[in-house]
Order: sequence, then structure tokens, then C-alpha cells
Amino acid sequence: MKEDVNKKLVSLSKSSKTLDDARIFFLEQTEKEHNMLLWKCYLSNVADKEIDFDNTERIALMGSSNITPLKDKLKVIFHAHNIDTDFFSGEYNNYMQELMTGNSFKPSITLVVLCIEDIIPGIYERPFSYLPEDISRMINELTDKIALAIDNYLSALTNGMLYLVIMPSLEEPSSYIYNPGFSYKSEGHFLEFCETLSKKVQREEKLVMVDTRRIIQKYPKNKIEDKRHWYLGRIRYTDLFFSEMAKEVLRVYKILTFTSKKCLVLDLDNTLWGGIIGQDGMEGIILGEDGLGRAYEDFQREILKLHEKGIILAICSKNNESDALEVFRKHKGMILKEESFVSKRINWTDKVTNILEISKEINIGLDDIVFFDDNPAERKWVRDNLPQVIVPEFPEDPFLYTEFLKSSDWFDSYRLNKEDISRNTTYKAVAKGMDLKITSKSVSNYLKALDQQIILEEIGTSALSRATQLCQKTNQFNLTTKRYQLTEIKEMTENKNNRLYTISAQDCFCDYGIVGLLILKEHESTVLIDTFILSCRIVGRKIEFAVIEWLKEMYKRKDFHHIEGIYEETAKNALCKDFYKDGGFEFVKKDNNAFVYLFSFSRKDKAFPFKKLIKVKALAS
Amino acid sequence: MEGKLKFIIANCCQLDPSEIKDDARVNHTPNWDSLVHIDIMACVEQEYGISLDTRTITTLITYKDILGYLKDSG
Repeated sequence: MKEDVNKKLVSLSKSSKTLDDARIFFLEQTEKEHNMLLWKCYLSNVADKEIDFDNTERIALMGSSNITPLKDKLKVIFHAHNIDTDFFSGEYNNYMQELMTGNSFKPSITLVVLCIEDIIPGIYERPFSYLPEDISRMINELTDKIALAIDNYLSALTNGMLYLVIMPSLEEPSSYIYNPGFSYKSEGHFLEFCETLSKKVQREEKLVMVDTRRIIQKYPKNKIEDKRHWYLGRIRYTDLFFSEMAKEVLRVYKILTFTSKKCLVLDLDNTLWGGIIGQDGMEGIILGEDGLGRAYEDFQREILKLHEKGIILAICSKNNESDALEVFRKHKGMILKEESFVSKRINWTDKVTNILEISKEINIGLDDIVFFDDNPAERKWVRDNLPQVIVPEFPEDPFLYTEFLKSSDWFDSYRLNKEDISRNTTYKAVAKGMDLKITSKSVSNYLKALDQQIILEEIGTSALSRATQLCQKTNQFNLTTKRYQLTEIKEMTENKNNRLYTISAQDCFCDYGIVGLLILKEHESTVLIDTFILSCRIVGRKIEFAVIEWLKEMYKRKDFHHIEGIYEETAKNALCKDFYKDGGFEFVKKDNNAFVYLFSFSRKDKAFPFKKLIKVKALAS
Repeated sequence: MEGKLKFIIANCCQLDPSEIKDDARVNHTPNWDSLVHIDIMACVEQEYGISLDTRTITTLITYKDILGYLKDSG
């Protein structure tokens, strides 16, 4: 059977027309089971072929043992995901030297794989000749050296990230001691090492730690390590493990590069509970207690985790609303509460219409949505009509729901930001704002009721990571879509001709935190709006115009002649296409996708009608 | 069996199966170095559902050796 799979891949690779099929076929097969030869066939027949790549990455590899196989694995998995790669491979166990001398290859990704057993061999070779405090001291000294080398390397790296993989030892140094609480146990050294090192690296914004324990927990030791390969080639790990490690690196890469999904839309019957509430009634549905009911309860608990991490929840269910809400209000097994959902569509309207309405109500794109439904027909209907929405195939057995959600990557992020945690509150406020909009007779009544305040604050160190996040992730209200990295933003703040502001917003419902970014570049008597970004959760409330009015006033006082604005068209930012025109700017010219606008202080400007309704405050850093 | 073994060696060496002749061997056939040899052996193990000990891995260093071993072990 495997032989057929390998041959099929090779035959798909023969024609340029079927290369995409070859990629997809490979990824499907790889999901099913590990097949070493299939990876080899991809490398040999597909990975050198030019396809329509989304990105190119230059990857430098360094390791404390021989990690040569990882290069091919990365080449294959990145190629299969439409990303071209170039490689630099270091000598094995020469990582210190390579970190200290820097890299003329100019990698965008530097992957350093350190096995704890290689770097502190003493603990494993002679565990009983050290006292616990000796081991701590060794870890402390070594992390000092490695952190210094990493900082040195990162300070020379203009653009790019260092991905650090620290591998725990699979050996137990004190295997002759039975007591699991014994202080020489291997896991403890590993955690101590990781924690100490990550605290010591100064340039942490350029460092990402890849967590390989996720893979190690999945497989037995003999699937991860192969002693024969260790003795024959100083290769610690198996082909399976290198494949999994490459997939994990890709996962981290995707988290850092692409936007994660913002909203989970859920069906109710047979998704959040077993059975159909309209037919089975409160007593009849399966939820809570032991058995299957417990599986549904755990699934809800997993969804609650996402909610608390800042993922917006919504309901889209064909039911009588009163029946469904009664479950939320009265059923003891319900973990998710009515208030956990920002938007609810419980009715008999088709799900495509409902999902479209949800996306409008909370002001997010369809491509920010993941939709869960146990019913294959509903899934197909949504998938066919709203291809931007992610509609995963659901496991048939409810016992598998929780694992299925845990192993997904739609909602991954590298760390947890304050804004992520408060996101649900703010989207709820947006939804409430929508209610207000519908009930308010005019825009000005609406704005008055909202009582908005905007704070523009010059960027200090603490806001750098949020500013970068906005640059990387905002698509809709983003006039120039420049994807600046943290270091680039930091460098801009050091030039006295630049003004960088974060934009925070509050209204009668809540404090939204930092929701926007403004980068201005002054040149003689003209100021250029290099970047203007607003999170889509607060667009549509005239804040953008209030910012422009504030800008006009500030530069009028400074005696500038012009404000230059550019709208750079992308597939996703049509929302702000007419922003400058509506803001009183004059269209000057079009260069490729860039529309250039100018505001001249010598011309009479029409007054901004909502000036008194939105307060603007500016703070220096 | 001959065709399948050549397919394995070829894909590990990033060559076309037609380039694997009967005299193919480690350090002679392009790309077939000691690291690729470990890969070829691991693929042979996977494809034929067998497990090779360290000594066998280091002695089966030609196409004919491997073929002979596979035929002998049925």
C-alpha cells in the first residue's frame, strides 16, 4: 500500500499542472501516518520545483548534535506549505562559535537545537558525583554563556528571529534511584535550564522557544531516539522525530507570521450537548455527569479556555431561541454561560445568512471565523458558500471533540497579551454599540451616547510589542499595510523626524486598550502618514476622523504646509479606500497600488461634524 | 524487489531510479554517503517491516548486499 502512495506522489510531481495536487496529497498522507520514504520522494521529486511561493525564508541551522536530517525535513514541509527556503548549516556542536561570530548568510530564521545532554554532559555521565547545588551552579554558568552568545548574535541580526529548541534528555541520569521525588531527576534540570536561559536573554523580542515536549509526550521513547543512529552518525533522533520537529517549527512560524482566527462560531445540538433540545427536552439531552455527558462538558471547558484567552464566541443554531437559552440558564452541566457569547443567532434562518450577520455584528472578517457543527450537511453548506470561513471536519465520536480542539492551530498565539484577555469584553461592547446604533436615530446621537475618548500616546518600550502585533495582524483598517517588525519600530522611534503614537480608546462600555497605531514622518514642511492602523473592533465610530482632525490641528500649529497620506490597496483593506477623500484630502496620483493624497493647510477645510462628540487627548511618552 | 529497492535508494540519494545500477554502493554512487546510508537503511526497515542491527547496517553497503540480505531473509 505504502509503495503505491510513494509512486503516486512521484507521478504527480512529473507535470507542473499537478504539483499542487502533489503538495496536498503529501500533506494528507503525512497527517495519516509517518512514512519516511514519502518524505524522501517529496524531497527528491517535488521540493526543487518552482511553485507560486507565498514567502521565501533563509534558515540557518545550528545544533549541539548532528541535526543534518532536519534541513531536508524543513525544506519539504515549508515547500508543501508554499514557502521557499534557503539554508545555511552549521557544523555540529559548533553553535557557541557560530553564535559569537554572527552569520553573513543573513538568515530570517536561525534555528538552534540544543540537547541538554550534550551541553551539560556531566549530569548524565556522572550524576552521583554532583550535589544538587553543583548542578544548579553548572546550569547557571552555562545559561550565562549561552544567553550572552544569543544576545551577541541577535544584536548583529538586523531582521529575523532565533528559534531555540531545547531538548530534554530522554535518559534518566539517576535511573538507579527509584524515588520519583529525588532531586537529580532529569525533568527538573530541563525546566530549570529553560527558565533560567529565557530570563537571561535581553533581546527576548527576537527569541522564540519551540516547545518539543508536545511531540515527546506523543510518542514512546524508541520512536524518538535511535541509539544506532547516535553511534553511527551522532544523530540523536529518529526520522519520525525530525519530521515532527520540522512540523513544530512550521507551526511556530505560522503563529508568528500569520493572523490567528478571532472567533469561534458554535452549533448547539450534538455539538455543545448530546441530543436535540427541541425534541429531547432539558431532561433528555446528554450533558454533564459521567459517560458521554462528561465528554460534552469537557469540550465546553476547552472552549471556555479559548474564551478566556480572548477568542470571541458566537452561536449559530437552528432552534427555538427560548428552548436553547433555557439550557444555558438552567442546565447544571453547562460550563459555557449565555454571557460567554458575544453574538447569538438561534433561529431557523440558514447558517450562511446567520454567519454573515454575526461577522457584521461584531465587525470581523469572515476569514477570522472558525465554525463548528456536527452536521456534515450544514458544514458543506457553509463551506461552499463562505469559503473564507474555516469549517473543520468534525470527529464523529464526541469523546474526541476535546482532543480535536486542543490539537488544532487556528487560535494559537505565542504569548498572552493584556488586550487578548480583554478582547471579549470589548467585542461585547461593540455588539452593544451596534444595538445602540440601531436604536439611536442619528449618527450624532449614537456617538454622543457612546461618549468616546481617544488617547494618542508616543510609543515607549512597553507598547512596542502591541504596536508590532497591530502591524502584523491588522488587515482591514490599515492604510499602507507595512508589516513592521518590533526592531524596525524601535529604530523608527530613535529618529527625531518620526512621531509614533499608539491609539487607545474608551467608551461608555469599556476601555479597549491600545487599538491603533500612527506613524508620522516629518520632512521639511510636510508630514507623511507612513502608517495608520485601527483595529476593526472600533472602526465605524468616526475615531479615524477624530485622529485626522487632531493631526491637522497639531501640524497647523507647527506651521507645516502639507499632510501626505497614502492608501496602498490590498485584497483586504477596501474598508479604508476612501478614508483620505472623506477626510478632506485631495487625490494627487496613483503609483501602482498606491493612491497618494495631500492635505494643504492653505486650502479651506470643511469642519468635522462630530468634533465635540469624541474627545482626543495626546500624551508624550 | 529489485525495482522497489532501487526506488528507495534513488529517492534517498535524490537521483532517478534509472541512475541506480547494479554496482551502486556507498561512497561511489552520487550522494550515497554515510549519513544517506543510515537513511537508506531506515527506509528499507520501514518498507520491508524489518529491523536491522548496527553491524548489519554497517556491512550492507552495496545495492547487491542489501538485495541479497532481503532475499535471504525472505
